[in-house]
Formats: sequence, structure tokens, C-alpha cells
Amino acid sequence: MTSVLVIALAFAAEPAVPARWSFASHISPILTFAGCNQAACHGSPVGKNGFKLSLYGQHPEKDYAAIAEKRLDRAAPARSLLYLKPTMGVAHGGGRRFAKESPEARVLLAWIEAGAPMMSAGAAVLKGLDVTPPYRVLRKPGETMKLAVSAVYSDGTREDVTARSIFSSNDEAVLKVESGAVARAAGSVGEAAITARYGGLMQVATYGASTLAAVKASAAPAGLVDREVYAKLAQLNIVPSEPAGDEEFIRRLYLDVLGVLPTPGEVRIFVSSKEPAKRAWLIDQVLERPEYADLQTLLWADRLRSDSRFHRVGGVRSYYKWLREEFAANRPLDKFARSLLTATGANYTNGPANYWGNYDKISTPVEVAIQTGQLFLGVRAGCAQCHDHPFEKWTQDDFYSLAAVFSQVVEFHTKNVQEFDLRLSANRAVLHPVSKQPVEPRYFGAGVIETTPGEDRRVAFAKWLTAKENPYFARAMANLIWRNLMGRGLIHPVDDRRDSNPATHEALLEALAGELAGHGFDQKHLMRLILNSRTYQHSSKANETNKLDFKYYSRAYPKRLPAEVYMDAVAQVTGVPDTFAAWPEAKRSVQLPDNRMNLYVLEVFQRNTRLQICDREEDVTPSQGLNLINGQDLQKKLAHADGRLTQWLGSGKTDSELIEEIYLATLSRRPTAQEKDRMLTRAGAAKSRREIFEDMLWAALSSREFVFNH
Amino acid sequence: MLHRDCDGARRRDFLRLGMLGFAGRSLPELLAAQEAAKRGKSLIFLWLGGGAGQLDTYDMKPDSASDIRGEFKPISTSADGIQMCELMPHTARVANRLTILRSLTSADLGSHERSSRYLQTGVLPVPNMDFASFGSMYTKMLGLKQAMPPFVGVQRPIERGYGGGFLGPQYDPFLAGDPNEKEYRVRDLLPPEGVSLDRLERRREILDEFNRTWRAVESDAKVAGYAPALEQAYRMVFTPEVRDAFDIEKEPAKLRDAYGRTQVGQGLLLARRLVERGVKAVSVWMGGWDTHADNFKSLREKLMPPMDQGFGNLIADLDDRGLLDSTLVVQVGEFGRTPRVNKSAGRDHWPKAFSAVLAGGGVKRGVIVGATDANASEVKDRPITVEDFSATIFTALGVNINAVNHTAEGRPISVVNGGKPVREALA
Repeated sequence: MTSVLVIALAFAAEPAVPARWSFASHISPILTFAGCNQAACHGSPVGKNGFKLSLYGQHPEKDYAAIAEKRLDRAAPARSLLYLKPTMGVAHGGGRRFAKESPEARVLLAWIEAGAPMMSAGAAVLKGLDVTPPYRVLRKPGETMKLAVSAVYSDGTREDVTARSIFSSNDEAVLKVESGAVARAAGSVGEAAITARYGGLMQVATYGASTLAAVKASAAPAGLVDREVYAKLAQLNIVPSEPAGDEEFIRRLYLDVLGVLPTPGEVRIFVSSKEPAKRAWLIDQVLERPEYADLQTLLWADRLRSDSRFHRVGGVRSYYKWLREEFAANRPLDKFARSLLTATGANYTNGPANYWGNYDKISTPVEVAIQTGQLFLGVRAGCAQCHDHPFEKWTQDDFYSLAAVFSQVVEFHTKNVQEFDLRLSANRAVLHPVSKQPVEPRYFGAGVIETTPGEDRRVAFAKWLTAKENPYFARAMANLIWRNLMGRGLIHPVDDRRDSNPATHEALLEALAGELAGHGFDQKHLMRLILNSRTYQHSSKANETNKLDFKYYSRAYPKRLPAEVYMDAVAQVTGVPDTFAAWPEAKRSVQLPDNRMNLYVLEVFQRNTRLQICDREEDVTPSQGLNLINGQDLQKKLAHADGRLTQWLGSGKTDSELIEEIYLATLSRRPTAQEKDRMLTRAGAAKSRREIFEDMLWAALSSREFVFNH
Repeated sequence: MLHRDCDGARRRDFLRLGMLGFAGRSLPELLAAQEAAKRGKSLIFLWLGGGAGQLDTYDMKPDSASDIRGEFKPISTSADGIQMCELMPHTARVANRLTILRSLTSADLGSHERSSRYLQTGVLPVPNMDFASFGSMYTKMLGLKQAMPPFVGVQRPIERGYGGGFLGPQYDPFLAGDPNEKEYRVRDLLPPEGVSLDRLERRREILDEFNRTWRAVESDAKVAGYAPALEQAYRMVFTPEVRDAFDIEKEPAKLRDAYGRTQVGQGLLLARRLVERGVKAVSVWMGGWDTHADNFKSLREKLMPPMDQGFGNLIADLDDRGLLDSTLVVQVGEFGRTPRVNKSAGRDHWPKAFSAVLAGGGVKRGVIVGATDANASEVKDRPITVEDFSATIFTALGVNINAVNHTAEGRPISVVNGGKPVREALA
């Protein structure tokens, strides 16, 4: 083995003329390494200047056909465009890729002279890549590590192709790959996935980097979440934050699970309780409160893009009602998904029929396939609509086979012109954009869906997808639940699962998916498991080792309050509820079925536009700043004659008590002694008691600590 | 520390505030920001949402059949050989300062939404991501940090594609509302009723105290955005120049009348006022051009007069002030309209061949580029793709069209997606 590698190394730096030709083994690697098939050049979906290659050479047979068609001059090989263009023997928009005397050019020419075969008899085919070394963590600043890539052929031989491979790192702040296949620790602590490409193949290997001093390993907590998270932290020498205090915990728990703040009374009671299991008890209580369903409905309405432009008011009403009932009853997620995937009937009366929509034009099977990929498989299959996926094995064919699952559905209009009615038209097919032939429906990336004529393919597909052992569904749902609580998906973004974007904690994701599937897809079961972990209950206060950790869960990551939650929290704190003329049944903005109501606060705090399946924007913008500083609505609530402040001021409370109420109501904590002193000094010096307390309450509601859930 | 009496304060005060370290920025920093603002041109982007008909605006075909040419007649303009619709007398007067592109050609994308994304970004829309609008991309490439928001949107955006897209929401336009409203104010730029500037200042001091305590996770990217956003907001509230820039009441009544007391007229006037004061890109959105029925009546009564008056006077006003050479004005919509008038006296969507107008910084004056066939249904000469259009805009603005930005996932996106600038249009 060793000797084979040594021999290979001697020839590895440059391509050599082989005895038996294989296009995929010998020509494709040259095109990939020279950059010919990258997205900006001939690998673009439409090719470049009339010559199209598959992206990164993933489809050698197609590339061979494109080359054989008009890039070869078999009679005079040296006049072939394949040889002349990259060597600038004729003008080439992409410039000189290699010189005429180069080994690359020699190999190309030799191949054409040999008759440019796709495959000579007995040639070995490139089967796979091996990237070494195995996982390790670089511990010194700027430490380097030599990467090696072996090509594995069908006849069992291996070749060192390191010098002709292309590398990329998914986190260059952690690891950078420099020329000569050298990975260098770039300063940040963490792990990076290195993708190596050779020919049409890619292989991913993960490595860590940490210059943090080794810490004495404390006993890792039990429980599957903490076990996996703490193991990774130990590997990277990251010290987790302290456990959150009761005040920090209760505020986070309420905002994450209910989307409301705990009241001052609830905070006081919880903090003063001496019950050792009080957190587990509170988690159980909170999971049973009705606001749970309100928040889940909002988050799922975002993902399902419930939209009055797309579904009309009648549609968002029925969608909302159905979602609210599903989550109020804690219906299992597999059943939930099947209801959506197989819905029929009129969308004004049957909520899940709004899985389809009608804006400008009715939804197409292609759109529903993209949506299904993102929502329930956790993959961005939509990329493959236009081109083969650049980072995955999925092809355009796979994508259209998924679209074919939905091709039998027809949207009829009912008597109400804006309503639609989903019906089945058994023989409708999706046509492949290239071949123009009907596409067979398949389980994603797997076998053909066999149905009897007239049978709804979606039913078979949904059954396959939501089976316990399905490789996509449980993982996608577990990852989403985790993201909603922890602020970042184990696979991030949650709908972008692919080999070159691995989970930060693969074993944990697998285990969570197993828990979910093993407990009847009970979302609350998984939430309870996560909420009770020490990992969820870390303080957001950082230490020196973890202040730059954004993905290993060593501290709680702050999340800006979602627009609706922020708006409702302001109403709750000020004691001035909002009312919504068009939706009198909505008592809080979280309960609004229509995402297009003209409400500036929701707009400026970036409610989900639902135009795409996207995470909410969570940044703080200058327009939000202006709204905090000068917003008329907020000021009206502060000054309201029947508001909380009026009650407090009229209740005979001392300044000290009022300050404490403000802190408890907004930040769910008591002020520190210093904070209280400062506020007391201000209150004492103020001319108007009402105004100074309005100003204090304003500042509390505009503070970082309020605007973020942490 | 804060300057209180902001009303009527002039540049001197602005500098003094800088010396006091107002909003955490030193005088040299402020001056550098002002220098940056002077560098580079400004962009005013007038969007005709719904799609204006080429046959009823800049590409009339008086010799075609009556169900093609429609109800309007062409008139002569200040530019030799350029004619345009009789409903555009103001624009005709400044035609010698325009570059009219008559051969724009887009793809049939089937919806306003997708076509609007295409024409506002210059990049064919894809399902999984949003590209950046011209104004967002331009201000990103300038890389400014200033009290004045770099990119402002006037009226309400009509279709997706107007914002920062993959560049991030910090490149979205700052939405300034409708300056034609009575007692127009930018949303939240002035203190709420019953709260004085003194009190705003006291509130800020208390806010600082609240924020001082919570230092747990300042390095966190999201939390880290809070302080600069608040600072930019305070800078806008307390910088007289910013409030002044949006104070359209300060424009002479005669000039306001000249632009027209309409949404688009006052929007364009505000746009001029803003670019004069350091805003680098302004989008003005005008809707209503989707005239599937009663095309001629709508154009005559509702659409053309306010647009023409605003646009024509904007060009004249910019030129009078010597700003036209440093301001690129663009007028376009998501597509043109069908040559043949339909049964409802309307015209339908027509992405195949339509017109756009450029004026000012970087482009020629009094020029027509491209031509369509006898019915304005196909491009006959010099097709201009949406990518070419985009390349022309960015080249006129002085931006390297091959510069690359990256999406969050690391996908490289160049400023222009493969188009070539229309040399015939560039000065």
C-alpha cells in the first residue's frame, strides 16, 4: 500500500498519458482542474459561447457528447478546439488555461490522436475519492496540515491525485486551503468541512482547529443532547457558559415556547421556589399552555407561506384554523405532513389544500416539489430545476421525478373565483424540460413509485417520506425543532442538507431524529428533551473561550424577538392591547391569519414576507432604531390613560418598587443594586414623575436586553 | 453633549457636532464620509410598475394600423429626429438630454413578480434566492457609511426585487413614504407627539444605562448590529442635514407645482433633493401601468400627465443645477405592452420589445438606440438584453461590472450577470 502511494506520488503532480483511455478518468479531471466546467464558465446552465459542460464535470457522458459533437478534429487532432482553445491556439474568452507544452495539453492531444474514445477496452473507471488524513484538530496558531486525495479506480488501483484536485473550505475563518493542498488553521475555533474535487467527483472531510488551552474535562452531563454537545466542546477546548439563572431561563423558555413574556408575578414565584425539579416542572406547564399553539401556528404559517396574496383571505383563514387545531391537539408531525402532501378539496374550507396556491397563476407541480423539498426533506432540490445540483448527487432528473409526484393535481376554480379546488387528474404528467418526455414519479433519489392507474401518487410518496426509517423526514423535522429553540440548525440553513454542508453534530441529529420517530413524531416530546438539557439552559453570557462560538452551543445564542412577539410583548408590558379591525378574533398580533395587514411595526421588525421559504431576518436596522426612538404607537401606549404605567403610578408604589416592576415586566429580572440606585437618582431629580417613568419604561422596551431573547 | 436646537442649524453645527464626537464619530471620519459621498454618481430610478406600452410612449408607430398605433399621435421634441407621445410635452422639451433605448428585450417570465425582479436587478430570477436591486448593488459597491441613508425608496415598493436581496437587508432602501402627503414627514424621523428633543436625549441616556449592563454577548453578530443601527437612527434624528434633506416643504412652491403635486411628481422632486444632499441612490415607484383594459383612457387621464410632468421637470431641474452630469436617471418598467389593442381597449404584457430611458451621468444626450419593427413587436436593430441594460447602468455609474459579491453560502454573484454595456448609449 505504502509503496503504491510512493510510486504514484512520483507521477502525481501532472497528468500522464495512460495505456487505456477513460474520458471520466483522464480527460474530465483536466477540465475540472483547469476550471473549464465551473459555474462562471462552460459549467453554467446555458454553457458559454455555445459550449456547455456539466457543472464540475459531474456527468462525463454528457460532457463527452458535447465535446465529440464539434470540439474534435479527428483528422487533424492538433486543430481540435478542445486542444486549441485552452492553449490559446485560437482566441478563447476564458484565456489560456494551460500551455501547449504542458502535460495537460499533451494528454488532451494524445487522447484525440488515440481516436478520443469515451472508454478503451479494459480501462479502469474512476470510482471514488479518499481524502486523508482522518479527523484531527490543529492546535497551534497557523498550524498546517497536508491533505492528500487518492483516486480509486474500478480495478482496485489507487492514484495520488492531490496535486490535481481542487479544494474548498466551508469555513475559511477556521481552515483555509492554500496551494499545495495545505490546510492552515486560520485563527477561529471550530470545524470546517473541506471539499475536494477531482474529475467529476467530490469528497468531504471535516477537521477542527483550536488554539484554546486544554481544559480539565469536567464530567459531561448525561442525556443525549449534552453528551454530544459536550464531547465536541471538549475536542475544541471550548468551555461552556455557566447555567442560566432562573430569571434568564424563564424569560427564554416563555419566549421560545409561547412567544410571550412571563409576568412579574410568574417570575417572582418561579425564582423564589426552592423545588429542585422546578425547571422540568415549568417546562411541562409551559408546553401545555394555549400560547404554544399560537406561536407554532405562526412559525409554520411562515414556512408554509400562508399568504393572502397567494391563498386569498378565505385561504389564510382556513389554513390558520387548521394549523391552530393541529398544534393545539399536538397532532403527530408525520400525520401533519401527510395531510398537507395529499390534500384535496377547496382551499377555503379545507386548510391543508393551501399547500397549493394561486398568485398570478396557480401553483405548478414543480413549485410544490421545491416546497416539499425544503419543508419536509430539508433539501434545496430547487437548484436542480435549472441545473444539476452543484454540491450534490441530485440531478435535474431527480428533481423532475419529484415534481412528477404532484403532477396529477389540478386546481379548479369554484364558484368563488378566488377559491380553488384541488382534484386529481390521473394521467397528467410532468414533461422533462430537455427530453420533453413524461417523467416517471420517484421517491426522491430512489425507486419508481408504482401505482395502479388512477391512484394518487402523493399517497405512496407521503407514506414513504413519513416512515420512521426515511432518511429525510425525521431529520428535517428534528433539525427544525432544534433550530427554533437553539437559534441555529444542526444543519444550517435547515433546508440545505448536502454532503458539503454537514451537520455540526451528526450523531446528535441522528439521535434526535430517532427520538422523534421513535415517539410517534410527537413534537412536544422532542422539545421537552431539548428544553431540559443543560445545553439549552446555558447562560448567554460568554466567557473568553466561547465568545466567538456561533455553532457549537457552548452558550445560548441571542435571537431578536420576531416582529409579532415584539409587538405583543410591548402590548403586554404597557397593558395596552392591540385590536385588529379586520380580525376581531385576534387578541394578539401572533394570532393574525393575514400576513399582509398594514401594520408598520410588524413590517419594520421584519415579519416573514412569506414570498419564499426563508428564515426571518433577525437583524436590527436603522428603521427599527427610528421606530424605537420616535414611534408614535409606542409613545401612545406609554402615555395611555388606562395603561400599566397609570395603574402603577396610581397604586401608591414607591419609586423603588416601580423601578423593580419595570425591570421584572420587561427583562424578567430584578435590577442590580447599582441599576436601581441610578434609576432612583434620576427619578428623584425629575420634575414630572409620570414623564421620568415613561422614559424609563421606554428605555427598557428599547434596550438590547429587551429586543433580544437571550 | 448633544446639540439640542437642531432646527435651522447649518453645516457649521454639523461639523461642531463632529468635533464633539457626536454619535461616536470623529471629525475626520465625518469628513471622510462626506468626501465619499461626493465621489461617485447618484442614481434615480423611476419604476413604471405594471409595464408601460412602448407604442404609447417612446416608440410610436403612426403608420401602423389603427388597432396597433392606438389613439395617440407623436410630437416633435427638442432633439432632432426624436418623436414621442403627444401626452409627454414636458419630456419632449428635455428629449435632447435623454438616451432612449427602443430595443430592450426581456424573457417571457409569465408574471409581474418575476419580470419585476428581472428588471429591477438585471438578473434572471431563480426560485431559491433574491438578487440585489440596482440601487442596493450600487450603494454596496460604494461602501458608504454616512448619516444620510445611502439608498432611499420613495412611495411604496410594488414588486419584489427592489431591495438588497442576497446582499442583506442593510442594503434595502430606507423607505421614505409619500412626499405628496399633506404635512409629509419621514416615518419616525421626528419625535412622537408630546415628546421634546430634550426628552429624546434623556431617554437616550437612560437607554445607555440599560445597555451598559448587558454585555454578555456583544460579539454575537445579531446583537452587534443593534448599536450601529441605533446610532445611525440617532444620527439621522439629530443631524439637521438629514431632516433637512427630507423636508420637501423647503422647496419653493413654484418648483413643487412645476414637478406636479402628484405622488410621482413630488417623489421625483424629493429624489433630486436627496441626491443633492448625499443620498446615492433613490428609487421612485409609480404603479398603475398594467392597463389590460381602457389603456388609452388611463394613460390620458391618470398615468401619463403626472409621470411626464415629474420626469420632464426632474431632468430640467437637475440640468439647471449642474447635477445632471453626476446623476444617472433611469426610467423603466417590467415589460412593454402588446402591439395589438385587445377587445377591452387595453394592451397586455409584452416582454419581447420595449423601451427604457436613461439620462444624465455617463450617458449621451439626445440619442436613440435600437429599433423595433413596423409594429413595435420585435426588435429589428440592436437588441438590448436585460443584462446589457444592467451593464450599461453600472458602467455609466462607474462600477466594475465584473466585481463579485458572495451569497451567504459562498456562491459568487457578479455585479452584472454576463451583459455587455451598450456603447452607443454611453457618453
